[in-house]
Amino acid sequence: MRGSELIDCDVYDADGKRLGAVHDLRFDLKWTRAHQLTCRLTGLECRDSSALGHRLGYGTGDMAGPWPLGMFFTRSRARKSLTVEWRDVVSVEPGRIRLKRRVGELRGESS
Amino acid sequence: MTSVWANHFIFDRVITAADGQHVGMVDDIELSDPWDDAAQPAVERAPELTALLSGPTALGPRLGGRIGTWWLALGRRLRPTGRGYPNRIPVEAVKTFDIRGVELKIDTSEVATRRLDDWILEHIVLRIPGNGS
Repeated sequence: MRGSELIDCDVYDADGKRLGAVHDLRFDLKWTRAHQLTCRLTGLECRDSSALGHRLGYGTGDMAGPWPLGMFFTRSRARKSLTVEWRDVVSVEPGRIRLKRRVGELRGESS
Repeated sequence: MTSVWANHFIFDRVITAADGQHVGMVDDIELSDPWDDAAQPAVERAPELTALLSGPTALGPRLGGRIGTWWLALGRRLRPTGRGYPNRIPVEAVKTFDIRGVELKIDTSEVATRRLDDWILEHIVLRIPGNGS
């Protein structure tokens, strides 16, 4: 499986409701004692609109200013963005990812 | 353990071989198939990074749309026959991985991404009179 196969996939909850498309992948990065890299996929960033704010760094908290942009993208992210844990993924089909939980449960957990 | 986002930390990082030569960019990544072994619990089945992919045939699908299709087609036409594509660097060859880029444990000669450069050097540059060799 390639990373690009997950990017832009539509994400559907347990009821079949579309949550948005995958715009980014979250990994846990760790070095073993033998200096071997392990990088495990832990989450998917889903948005119902453009990922411009996330790509500019506002989604991950790396960008603080200028304040009008920061405020705009932070509000936009809070309204539309959702990070889905990989453990909630049931299946990955071409262009479509299915989750085992409902959108309400996912938003309640992420807030 | 560090939590990172692919767009910010992994994709488009410069890959540098052990001898200091740039050997490409991280255009895509290869992940293990999480459904290979259904006996494991869900968290254990999370896909792991197995290789960094580089070259037009890796970047094309990630770009998507018409531009991505054209880029992929271009990469397929330019590739050497009988060679696997895209260029694949196994994660075991990674020495350091940070926001500045990826450093490898192996030298340029062991990295497949330099095949086009080597081909151009051998078949074009070295045949030009006065090439300095």
